[in-house]
Amino acid sequence: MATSAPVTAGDRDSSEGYRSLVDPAEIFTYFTEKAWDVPQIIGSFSLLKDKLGIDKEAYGVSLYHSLKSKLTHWKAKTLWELLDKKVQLNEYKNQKACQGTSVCVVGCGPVGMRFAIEAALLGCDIVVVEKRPYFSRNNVLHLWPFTIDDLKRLGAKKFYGQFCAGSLDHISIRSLQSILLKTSLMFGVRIYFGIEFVKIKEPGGGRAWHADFLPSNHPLNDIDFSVLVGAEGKNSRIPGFDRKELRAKLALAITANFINHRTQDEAAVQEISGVAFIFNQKFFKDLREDTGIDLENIVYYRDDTHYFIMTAKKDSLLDKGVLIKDYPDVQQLLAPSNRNMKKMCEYAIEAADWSTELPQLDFAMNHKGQPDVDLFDFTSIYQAEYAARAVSRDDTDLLICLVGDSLVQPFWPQGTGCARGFLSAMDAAWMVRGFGEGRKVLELLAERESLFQRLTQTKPDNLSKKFAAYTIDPRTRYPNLNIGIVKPANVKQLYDFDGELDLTPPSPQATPPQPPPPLATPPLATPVNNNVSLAPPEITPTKLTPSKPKTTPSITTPNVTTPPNDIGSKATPTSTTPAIETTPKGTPTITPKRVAPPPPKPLRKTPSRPINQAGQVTRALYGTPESDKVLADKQVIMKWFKEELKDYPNLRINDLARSFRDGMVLCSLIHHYNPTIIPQFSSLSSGNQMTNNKLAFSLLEKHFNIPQLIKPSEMNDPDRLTLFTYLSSVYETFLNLEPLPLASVTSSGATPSSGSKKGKLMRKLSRKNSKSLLSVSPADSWGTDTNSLRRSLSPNKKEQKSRREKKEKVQETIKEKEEKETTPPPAKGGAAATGTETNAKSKGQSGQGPNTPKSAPNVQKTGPRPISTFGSPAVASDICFFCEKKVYLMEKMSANNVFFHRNCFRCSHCNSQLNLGNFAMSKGENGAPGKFFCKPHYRQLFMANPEAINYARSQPEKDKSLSPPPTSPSQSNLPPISEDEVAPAAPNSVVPKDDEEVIEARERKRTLTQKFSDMFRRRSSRSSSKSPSPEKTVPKPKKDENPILYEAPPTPPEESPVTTPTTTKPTITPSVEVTPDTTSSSPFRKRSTKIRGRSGTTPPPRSDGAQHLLNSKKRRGQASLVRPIIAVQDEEDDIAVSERQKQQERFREAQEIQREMSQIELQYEEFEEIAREIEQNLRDAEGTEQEDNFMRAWLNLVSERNALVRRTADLSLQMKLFGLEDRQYELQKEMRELQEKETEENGDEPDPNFERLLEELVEVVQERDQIIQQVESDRVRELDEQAAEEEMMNHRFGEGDSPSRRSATMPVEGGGGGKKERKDKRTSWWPW
Amino acid sequence: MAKTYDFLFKLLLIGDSGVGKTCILVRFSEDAFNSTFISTIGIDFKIRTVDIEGKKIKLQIWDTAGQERFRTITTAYYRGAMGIMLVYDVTNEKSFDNIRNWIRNIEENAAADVEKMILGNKCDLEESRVVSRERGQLLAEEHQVKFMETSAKSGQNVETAFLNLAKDIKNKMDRRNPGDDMGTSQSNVHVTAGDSSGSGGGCAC
Repeated sequence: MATSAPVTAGDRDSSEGYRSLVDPAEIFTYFTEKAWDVPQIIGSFSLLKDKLGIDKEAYGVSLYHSLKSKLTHWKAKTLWELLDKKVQLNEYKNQKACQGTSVCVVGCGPVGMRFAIEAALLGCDIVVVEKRPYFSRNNVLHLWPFTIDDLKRLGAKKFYGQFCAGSLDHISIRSLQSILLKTSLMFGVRIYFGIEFVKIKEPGGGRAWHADFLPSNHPLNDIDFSVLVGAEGKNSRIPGFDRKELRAKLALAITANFINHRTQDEAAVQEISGVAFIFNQKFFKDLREDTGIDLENIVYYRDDTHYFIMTAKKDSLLDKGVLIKDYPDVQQLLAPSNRNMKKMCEYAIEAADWSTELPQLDFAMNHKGQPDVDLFDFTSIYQAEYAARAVSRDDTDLLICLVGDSLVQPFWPQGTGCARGFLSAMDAAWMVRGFGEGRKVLELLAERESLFQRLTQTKPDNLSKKFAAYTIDPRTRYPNLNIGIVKPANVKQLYDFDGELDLTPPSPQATPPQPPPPLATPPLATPVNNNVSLAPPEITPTKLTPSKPKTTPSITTPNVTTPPNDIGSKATPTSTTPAIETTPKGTPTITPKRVAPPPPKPLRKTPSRPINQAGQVTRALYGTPESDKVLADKQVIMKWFKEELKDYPNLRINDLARSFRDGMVLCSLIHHYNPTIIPQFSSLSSGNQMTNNKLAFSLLEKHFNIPQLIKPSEMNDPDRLTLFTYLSSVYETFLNLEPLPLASVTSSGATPSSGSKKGKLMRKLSRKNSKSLLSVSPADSWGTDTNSLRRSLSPNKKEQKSRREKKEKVQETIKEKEEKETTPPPAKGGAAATGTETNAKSKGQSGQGPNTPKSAPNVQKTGPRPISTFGSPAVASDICFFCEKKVYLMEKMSANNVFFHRNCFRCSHCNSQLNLGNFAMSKGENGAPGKFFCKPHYRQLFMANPEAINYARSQPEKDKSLSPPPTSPSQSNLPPISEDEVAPAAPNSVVPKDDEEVIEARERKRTLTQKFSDMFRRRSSRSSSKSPSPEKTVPKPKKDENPILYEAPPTPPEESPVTTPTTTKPTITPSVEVTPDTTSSSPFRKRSTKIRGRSGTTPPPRSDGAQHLLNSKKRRGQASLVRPIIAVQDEEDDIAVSERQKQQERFREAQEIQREMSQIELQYEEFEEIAREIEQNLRDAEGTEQEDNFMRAWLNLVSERNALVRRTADLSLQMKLFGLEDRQYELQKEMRELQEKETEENGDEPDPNFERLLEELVEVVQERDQIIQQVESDRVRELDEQAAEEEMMNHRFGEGDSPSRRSATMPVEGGGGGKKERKDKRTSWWPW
Repeated sequence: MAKTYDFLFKLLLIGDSGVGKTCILVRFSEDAFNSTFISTIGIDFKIRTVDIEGKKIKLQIWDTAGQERFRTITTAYYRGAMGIMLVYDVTNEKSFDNIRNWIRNIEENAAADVEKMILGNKCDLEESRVVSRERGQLLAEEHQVKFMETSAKSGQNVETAFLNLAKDIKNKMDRRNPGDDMGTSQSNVHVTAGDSSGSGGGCAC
């Protein structure tokens, strides 16, 4: 027996020594403190009962009472006192709440037992069956604060010493099971190991509900029960529970357990509570470079074993030989025959070794006697559709429910398994309680579902903090619980009833039905049946064995929740109830089972479904009222043009195609609006079609943020659909504009859906939905958006200050900013137009803190010289820059007027996937586009500009070590690549040159879809969905003006298919992402240094610390692991603990976001597919009546996608905030330490390091503030627009000035006319 | 996009080092309390959205370091504040005396009609109390600001204080812009010389 049991270590006893004990007190001690696996625990307990003279057959809490009365020595007494508190809780009604209710639990994992304990306390007759004869899982679970508290109240301290330490936050499954087993036994739960549940049997022949078990002659087969609880984990065999599956990008994880010899050296190694790629790109990059191991995430816990779990990218696994052959099908890919165990072991060892400094890495053995390393797929997160069901036959009810992993698959990066499992156990117990009290089944089911909904949204911070008050009553655990959110009527289908269903509303005093016959007492106690030769089941959860095939209906995101401080438009996600189908306004029914509003739920990715699913298209065809309006009026648009341009006699506007061919219409429009920006108007002639169009398009883009959809050269024979779309966006834009140029610029400019008509509704809809799906300007396709923001905040290049002076600058800039806020926005054209807007923005932000504008560095921008310089036919926008093959719009991206496949967009150096938020481009000859790089490599290779003060100032790479120059290229002053380039991108990229005329003869049709896709991409890359103008688009604080170097999105290298959820979004990534400096990862180094310090030594002085760390690979590896857990051995350190918890919390939230991002990515791909299809149909149907239908569908899709964009923007904002908060936390810690040192050393002069850190801290805070301000500005602006529009509507209908006009252009009195920017007007009641 | 809040108010916490500004803020934003003293470095802020008279008010509450060495930095943040909490420690006479200085700071650096409130924190430590409630009240009346005694530890009055201050700010805003219920303001509406209505009401400790 002991030999087949997995290895345990330490003082835990695997022997049979206890058998010789005689004194109950000793046995008790053995039982509580020493026994550690099933045989010993059960054996010693039996022995105890024996020696105490307790009836072997005794069960239930009466057993507990017997123990209590008979074991009275002091050790036992303290335990009884503790447990008494639980036993005596009101909810259990002295164990009479469920008297007579018989419950069978299948599965004896932690959650199964947790439930069983509750059931026992309720007074149920409870049995638990478990297939395996012993505990076999080494893996380690993360514990939430409440779980720890919960376990303590169940006596954990007695059984597991570490509970006495303050900083525990994880536990091995085995240990957890042991603890719970002991408690269960003491409460008289009967557990049968080595017995397998086979199936449920209906009542009949004198029996009530029962089940078949193996071996078939086991007495359990004779028991009847009325409640069946499935706690089997992933491979639940309880029938009738469909699963919903959320598929995301391929996510593969490797777990490994190494023997913990418990040496001092081992104990000194820091744990890693989870390093996310987002926070620590450098670490993972280095790892990859050094070893070829490509991870997204890694966690290391030290417990019974050294436990590692890491998310690995598929390609890396293939490269290293862990997987033999690549298959598109995951099942095949991960099939045992496709794995090389040896390589897997090596992989795990290498990863573990690189990221920690564990002296020894010997594998622990799993239950099969093999190295405990495993690879599993968590691509899909599944979730049961319902938490409970009931069946009635023969007038007898059976309540079936799921708890634990069967209910919701845990997402290990978020550590939700144990916590949610416990919560679900308690929820289930609550239901059983109701059942035992005789409440109506339907009510119970409805309640259970409400709780389930709530459960899936649970996070540590939205649970009640009063852990000590947690009981099975859900109200003690879930704040703001609406337990009636699911109505009994909604769950009718969950109650399988022969007769008529009674749906009358619940009455408070329901007459209890006849209680089912009590559970027959099984004759056996629970000795382990050592002779049972059941092959232990697979540990690895590779296969999902849903009760139904994978293509189950809707998908919800179990983990999506509103973050605590809502940034933007996140509504609280509703739930997992698939049945509810509200399609609120504007939410197209493409995804059939979607619930209510944003955040949008990802579509189900049906793996191998052919695209041409009539179903999908048809669904899309059911438009919304708004989209109908959209279609309405080509006529209206045309009329509008006519009206606007009535003073331009030479124009003939008879249609929306040919009339626009020569470009004069658009030029005239521009001229009509603002003559100053088109000075050459008078010299334009109708014959210069190309010139005119080029001019018009570029001006429209530059000044009005209307992205080009069509090439000037194509205007000769334009694609009608495209042109129409373009013109309607022009229309939309201009409609929202003030007649006078000074009114500045493009308000929203957002022309969401194509061909949108101007119902106020539609406009609202569009505005709400997509803010500028189309108003993405190529200007921003450049790298990060910080640029925009930076430009916006300091439109004039400021001189650069040295870091030393920065502090004073802080003060200065505050004053400056104040002043700026009162200067009128310049109404220049060009960059000014954007500048205006952005100026506006800065003014609008009455941010409290200093604005520390950093000057734009002097780096050369890559002129967006088109393509012609390339000389190749690959000049059209639909030829991929990289591979020179045709690019369909769907997959197209563009940057700097260069177009390419999304997938081709890779770094020339490292071939990692780029995205619009994270790239840099070098210049080629004659300003032609050169090569593309990821930022880190760009810096590395082009550390050109020392005057690029932006970066010179402060990389954390330089790392607070003021003086020593960076040692490695990656640490050097980085030329401010893309950030800077964005600015000029506006003027440059937009001005077409004559070369473009050369373009190409080939007229490939760009599909509208493609164009939209393009827009979408660019849009999303700029994250903020709300802002119209290019720079304004991004809520990016001037991050790049700040010394703190933040990488753009946390998604650098990424092989497309393999991204794991934790990686984050690939190309869709809004460039806003701020990952707390990744390149340097120095903050993390610092932290780890500090941690070492905490273990007893003072941290080495900063100045050489960085260097030192830089040089050592190992150290770097370890050092850059940002989140080392403070060593468990440390004395209880309240602050540290709570800080760490907060940190972890942030980390986990970040993970969640990353996951959601990747889901969005997936969804986006689906859109592409569908859109392609629709478009095809649309074109085919052009001119027919079908056209409208497809157009409608198209628009739906568009607005759907726009919702995604918004969501992405919100998420990225959040991520950014996380990053910043993290950074702030880091800085504070470091500064505190410095402060301590200062006091110690009694120096009079402040540490220069301190000052520097302080500056940085202030900047970080500023950045956070910027984000808040940005959101506020956006909000205000939206209101503005609404107001303006209303006014316009009023105007149109001749109502004159409505009293409520709040025109954006109204001069503010308070600040002097025209002084205050529009944005300020929103807060103009406040003088600042 | 669904609006998640109607207004954004910026508040500021000032006071001597150690009086409990951060604890008050943490209590308000996270409903938590940590008895270990961790001095705030420089500046920080937290956000919490509350409901006032049917409107969602997002409160951005800036937390300043009390230490002298951060004074320059923190002073920079006075300007943008719409409401300021001056905090002293009822068990610390000096911190109470310094309120005058803090008020002067406000006059020098903050907006003219910023809403103010004085908080006497740590009112749970009755045995160590050295500043009576009456004295606090008096001081507040002197300066025509509201007054409350709070305890971040027990939570007493913390929420009330912030809600109160926010309400004052909202009222002021409403007064200036009647009929504006869109969260925007009417720019063309009469600019009344600010009537500061922040004068001390009763404290509700």
